Amino acid sequence: MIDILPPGLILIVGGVLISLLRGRAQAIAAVVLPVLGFAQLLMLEPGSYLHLQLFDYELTVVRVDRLSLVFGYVFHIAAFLTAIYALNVRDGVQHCSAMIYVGSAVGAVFAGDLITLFVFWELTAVGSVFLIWASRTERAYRAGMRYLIIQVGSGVVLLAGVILHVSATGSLDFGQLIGADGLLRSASVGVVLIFVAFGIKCAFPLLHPWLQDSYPESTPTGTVFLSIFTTKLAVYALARGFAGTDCLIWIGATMTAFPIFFAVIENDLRRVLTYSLNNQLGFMVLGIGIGTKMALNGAVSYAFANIIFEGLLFMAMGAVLLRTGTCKGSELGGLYKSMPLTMAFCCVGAASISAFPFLSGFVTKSMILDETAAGGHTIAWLVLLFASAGVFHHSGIKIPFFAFFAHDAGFRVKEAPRPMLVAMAAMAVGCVVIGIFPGLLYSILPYAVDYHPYTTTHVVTQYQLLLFSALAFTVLKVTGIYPAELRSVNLDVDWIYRKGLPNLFGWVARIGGGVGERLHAVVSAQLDRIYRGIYHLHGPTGVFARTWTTGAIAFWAVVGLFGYLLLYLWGR
Amino acid sequence: MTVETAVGLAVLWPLAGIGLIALFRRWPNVRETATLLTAGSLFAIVAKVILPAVMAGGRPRLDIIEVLPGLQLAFEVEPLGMLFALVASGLWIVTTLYSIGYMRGHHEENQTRFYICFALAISGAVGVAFAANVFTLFVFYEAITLSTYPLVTHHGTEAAKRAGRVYLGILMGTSVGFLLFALVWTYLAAGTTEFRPGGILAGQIDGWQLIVLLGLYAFGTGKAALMPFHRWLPAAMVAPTPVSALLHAVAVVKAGVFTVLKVLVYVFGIDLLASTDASRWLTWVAAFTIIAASIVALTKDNLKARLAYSTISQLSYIVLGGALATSAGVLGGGMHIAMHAVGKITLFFCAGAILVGAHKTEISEMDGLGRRMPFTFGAFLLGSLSVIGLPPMGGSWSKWYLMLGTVEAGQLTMMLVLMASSLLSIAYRHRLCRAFLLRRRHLSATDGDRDAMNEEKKYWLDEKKNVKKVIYGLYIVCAVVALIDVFPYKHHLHFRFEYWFGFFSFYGFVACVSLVLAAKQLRKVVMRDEDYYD
Repeated sequence: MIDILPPGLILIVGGVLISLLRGRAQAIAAVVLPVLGFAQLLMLEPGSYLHLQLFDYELTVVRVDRLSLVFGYVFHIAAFLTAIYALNVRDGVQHCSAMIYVGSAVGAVFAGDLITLFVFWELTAVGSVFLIWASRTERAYRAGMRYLIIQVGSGVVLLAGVILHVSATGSLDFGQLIGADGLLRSASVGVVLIFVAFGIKCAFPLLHPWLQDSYPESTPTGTVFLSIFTTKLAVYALARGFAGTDCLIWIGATMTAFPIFFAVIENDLRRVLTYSLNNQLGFMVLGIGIGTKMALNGAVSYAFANIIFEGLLFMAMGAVLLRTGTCKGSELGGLYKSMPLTMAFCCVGAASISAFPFLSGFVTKSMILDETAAGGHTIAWLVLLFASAGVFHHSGIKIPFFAFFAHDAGFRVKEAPRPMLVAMAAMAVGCVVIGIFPGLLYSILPYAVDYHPYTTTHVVTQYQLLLFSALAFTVLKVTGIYPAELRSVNLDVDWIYRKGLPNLFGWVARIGGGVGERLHAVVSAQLDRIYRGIYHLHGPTGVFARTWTTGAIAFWAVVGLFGYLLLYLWGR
Repeated sequence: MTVETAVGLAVLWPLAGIGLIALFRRWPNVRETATLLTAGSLFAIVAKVILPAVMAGGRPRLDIIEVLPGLQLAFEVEPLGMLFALVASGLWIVTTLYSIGYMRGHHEENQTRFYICFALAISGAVGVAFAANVFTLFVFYEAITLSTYPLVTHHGTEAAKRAGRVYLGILMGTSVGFLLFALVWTYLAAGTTEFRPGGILAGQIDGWQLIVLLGLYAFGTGKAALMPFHRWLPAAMVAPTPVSALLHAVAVVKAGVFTVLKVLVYVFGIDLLASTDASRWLTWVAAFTIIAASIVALTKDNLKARLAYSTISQLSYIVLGGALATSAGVLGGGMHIAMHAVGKITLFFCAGAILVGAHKTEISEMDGLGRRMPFTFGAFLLGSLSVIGLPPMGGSWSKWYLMLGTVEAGQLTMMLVLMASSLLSIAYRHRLCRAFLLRRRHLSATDGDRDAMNEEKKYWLDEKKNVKKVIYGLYIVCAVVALIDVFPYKHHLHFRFEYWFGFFSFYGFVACVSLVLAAKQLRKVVMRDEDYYD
């Protein structure tokens, strides 16, 4: 029975039912639900299920294969740990929406056809926005609104793409969408639109600003949920539909590089992490673009590992925000004294994301880099290497340094609450376990893995790269060249719709309103004149009165009646 | 009872109810029971007797009287009309239930008149739905207009009368000025006004005449609220909320778009329209209305006014569906009649509940209400999601077919319009979600106790010289790691330069230094004050 329910449904329905509970029971239910969902996953056999008839279409609501299973597993694990992290939250809206959000992301991962994908795709948008609004501040409210419009926009573009694709090919199947040549320009319009929809959710360059704009406005726990699902769902969708698409290599390379510049000068540490997240997605996108089996394995495994360590970093910053009330680099510092455990877990996450050997980032990212080099993409490889050094710089050093070390800002707060520590500890253990026993992760990847991360060459060169980036940071810091943390915002592409378009809209509305009023006046006057004119000609004393025929009377009676009504309306 | 009798009975049934309502006017409880019974039995007639016959492929027909040769008062039920009749009669039950609570809770006067006029309007709506020809449709169309006028002016205030004047003026003006004319023209050109599959105008008129006639129909149906004949809808917002529900969901606007759809399909015929492109301009008018009404909605603070403009925008979806002249478009339009009716009635009920429960009409006053009225706001949220067209709500599926229709018609611009409208409709619903969530709560920043600095213990890193030790340690480690390159340990690398001495060390160092220097320059361009966006 349970194997024919779509995966994710337990979470969605459970999320709705949570609203009936109260207080601590809600938080506990949110921990239990992912466990139930995971149990269901373990029972699934590869294949496709639940063929439903919707109007003229045959849907395949569930398709289980190795690719969808990896994402299913990691989504459930992450949801479980994040729910533990949120055990102390007493806000039904957050628990409900988090579970609905996770459930719809899981549902999307197992969707076998494009309509089902679309349904879950939009559900993730609606479910997640409440996590942002849950901050209940004006800022968060506005950011959430922008987020929702962009996320639903992605869904609408997806819908348009699906409709074009379906009416062109008649196929609803959500499989490889890009042709064998991997060129986007030879694909149909529908496929390109689907690609763009995925790109928005995946935060492609220029389509990215919603990520940095909205996530840091959520609650300490909400941001952790958000950081995990939406973007990884997009990575999954790209891996499913666009593996081997040429342009993804360049999109991915750009994505790894440009956000790190912003990360260096950003003050809000959770926002730094969103830039970092953006950069991490670049690695996965590039791997998908290369499209070989090993590159796809690399991309998928990196998504898996990233969910753990990026989640851990967001958790650590969430704990800091909870305890100190701020997450700004310019306000923080010296927290290692009062939150030593959080600091330790954060450092594990930071080292993981920087791909230090014996941690999860190393054993997964190197697959992507190796495959890039093997494919002869010299420039892309150099960009990745630059970005790897950069990641260490802003996520590996900047985050722990400015929060826990640097100048002591004088906060003497309590250590993070116990549920948070437990969740962070579990995440940290996950990073270490994957790093030391990569075979565990390799065994569930979509394709068979023949890869050995731990060679002398590999380990030593990685240490060289990372230690010398640390050296660069130290030298710049000691010499005072390193840019100070300042209270500020940095303009990004979101300026266009946060400042540019509203100004333009206001301007158009003023002009339009003026024109409308003028037009109304002119039309009223004209109608009045026309009526007088007709009366002059056709009235009982008019020239045309002589040529009246009975046939015309009916018509003119109508016109006259109509005119009277208009006068009645406007002529007062 | 034959199906044909049932068709006639369905139209007359609400009138019978009126007798009961008038009879029991002194006993409100009995009176409301009478309304409910009438509504319930009407729905039973429509759903239990007529629906099965139509589903089985039957087209039950009932001729009443022949006014002129070829001009009959007659009923004939086909699927589109069936759908509309189901929506109208079904929602009548719901609306009646709601009205009882609302009219009593809000202490409205003249409740008997209210229920009588309501029943009249329903009778008109069923007549429109079952009309066999344009002539019959016109008669019942006007009946709806006249019977709803007392409802719009229910409060009898000066504002209500003014609104009623606009309401009656535009609806009667357009129907007498354009629709009647179109009816006469159709009769003269085709010799009949019967609705027939494939239309009756093919080969009768062509070219610009077709376009003009279509214009007369489209604008003549003022109830479809195509711009610029839309003002009556926001004006009618002065009426009690159940009336708004009647206008927006049950009968009035739906009769309008139903008329447009029916005329497009059964008078013109979509094949004729598709082959002559006569309705191309109508898609543009509809598109303009969709976008413009959404933008106007953005500027309204009054909840009901905002919903009214939302309706105007949504109605044009249906007109657009018909004007696309493809089967998917018509299907989408027909579905949208039902989907929008159900979604919008939810929203209006919620608006009325907020008025009765919290005495609020302006959206900006509603912050924090969601906490007090969670059920109402929950329903509002679901209704909104459907009207926006988010899956798996009903509204998304009609939108699917509409978009499919744009593809079939090769009008991708219209697809863009539909996409843009989805996003706009989120934007104009946004303040409501805010009301749902925002609580005037100040985050108490758990400021750490910063005074305890003096008497606490010193940490190892507090000593400057220990920090120095760490830094020197790093220098040494770096030097050692870099010097490993003197050993030929590198194997299986892909590029020649990877084998160079110190390549990775050098690259890591230079990358980070240039990253920081570049970022410093970037700061000059993009850095703004913290409150730049506030």
